[in-house]
Amino acid sequence: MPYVVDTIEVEAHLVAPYLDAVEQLGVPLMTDAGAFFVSCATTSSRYRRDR
Amino acid sequence: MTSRSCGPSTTTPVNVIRKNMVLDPRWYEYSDRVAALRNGGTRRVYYRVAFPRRDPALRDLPHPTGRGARRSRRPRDRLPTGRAVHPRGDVLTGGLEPVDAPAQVVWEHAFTSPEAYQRYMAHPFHANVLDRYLLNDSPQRVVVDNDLGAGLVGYHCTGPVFELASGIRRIVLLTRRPPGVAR
Repeated sequence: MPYVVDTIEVEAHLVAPYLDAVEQLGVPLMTDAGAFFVSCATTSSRYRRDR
Repeated sequence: MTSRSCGPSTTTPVNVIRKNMVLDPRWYEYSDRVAALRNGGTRRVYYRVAFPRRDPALRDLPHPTGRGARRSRRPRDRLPTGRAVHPRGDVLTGGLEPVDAPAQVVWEHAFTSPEAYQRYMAHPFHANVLDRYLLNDSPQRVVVDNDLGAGLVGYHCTGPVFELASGIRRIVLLTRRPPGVAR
């Protein structure tokens, strides 16, 4: 069983809109296509950037 | 930074899931939305397989550089180039596993028949490797937006036939950082 793992870089103020898009558009789309959602996590916005 | 993980069900192959997604009109809205929000990222496809340390079948592959005396065990040196795609497909799968060196995949396709093309379109390589760099919803996309939802790459050939009698043709795709996005 393969797993698709996306790591996304977004500006801190765009995290919520991005997660809304995943929840409201992406998950229903992928579920109907035959996949299932496993997990989603965010790093702290205090880090701002990961490098 | 955010990360998300999606795993296909045990009854639906990932290439079928991919086909269902890109044929769904909602995919275009979703991919356009997330592409506009992200700065970048990566996509990885993981399988529960063990990459063989010494696969006897791999020893039959020609070395990309022609050095045959001692073949490296590094995965990027074991990947076939040109048309020497291993029929088992394990090479492609193994190339996606986390390794200690970046895998360099060079591909070019010519199809012997419409049936061969149809098989390719449903092959996991299409979803796991090629689409990673082409589809709008992938954070590793390196092509520009267009109405197709999948950026295409074209190049000019020196002659009317793209097939090479010898050597390789290497196409390198680079991501251009959008203006105003700092690193």
